[in-house]
Amino acid sequence: MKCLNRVEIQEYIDKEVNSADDLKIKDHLNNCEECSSLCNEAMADKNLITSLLAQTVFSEESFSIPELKYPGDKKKSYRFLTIMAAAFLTGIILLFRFDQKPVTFKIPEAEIIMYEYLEGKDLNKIWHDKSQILIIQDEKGNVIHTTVTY
Amino acid sequence: MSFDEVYKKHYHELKRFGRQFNLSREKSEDLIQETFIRYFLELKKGVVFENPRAWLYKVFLNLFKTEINSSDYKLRDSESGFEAVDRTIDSDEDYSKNERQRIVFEMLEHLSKKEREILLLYHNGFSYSEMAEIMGINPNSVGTILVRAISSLKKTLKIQYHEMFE
Repeated sequence: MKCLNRVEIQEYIDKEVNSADDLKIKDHLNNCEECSSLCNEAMADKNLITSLLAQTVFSEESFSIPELKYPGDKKKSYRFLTIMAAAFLTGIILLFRFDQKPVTFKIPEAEIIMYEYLEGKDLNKIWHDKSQILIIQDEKGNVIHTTVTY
Repeated sequence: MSFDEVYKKHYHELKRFGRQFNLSREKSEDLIQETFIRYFLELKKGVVFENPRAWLYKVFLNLFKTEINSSDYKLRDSESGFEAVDRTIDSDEDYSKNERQRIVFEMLEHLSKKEREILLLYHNGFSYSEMAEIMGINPNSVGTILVRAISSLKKTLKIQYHEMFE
């Protein structure tokens, strides 16, 4: 039997070879110093890897096993959808309710004063001068109609 | 074996496996839930499993890969890994244990994904054919990848952390 490579030795120490090959390899290792030392090295590596990777196991884990949430158990997602829908409707109601504020205009006082200054007179005077007020009264003196025309 | 028996038998080892990839406890539990739901659905379809353990590891590993490839998920998130280790430890012995754990996780990150996977599966006692099945690789290449992974880990150990494990 020819000498073994590293992969073959690994397969041998991991017991991944069939029984016939296992016997042949055992026999070879007894007679070949080089392969034997390679095999010892591989064994040492295996032990090293085992001890190193043992460090990756967390020891603080709890021992309880949670119940599996089976498919079809959609309670949680329905609850979420309900909450979302309620929030959406509330939002719309609030939006319409508070949107109907009275609209007010405020003409800046400084602007009116500026116009008055430029024209040199009361801005309302133009309209007052041109306006005609018609008051219709009946025989008893009661006002039955008033109109203002400009 | 009934579904409940499989669930109880393999829950902890899958959780441990997830934690070996430095997954947070919560994320690990989420992936296990998803894994077992898939197993449950397969059973409902009438699939008969010869080796449910290997199948569960395979699905779990695939879910894990999808998870690390998706969005901005980081392998070592703030809640996971050695962050989860109790920092209020008193004795030197506990401290050096946590430090060793941190270093081993760091060393594993130096390996390629495939090497890390094969080493952790190897550590969990799978045969070569099972490892090939779980990882979706050629059974003949398992030995080669394993030997390469062992030598990579040894190399990292020798270069950077030899004093910690002497």
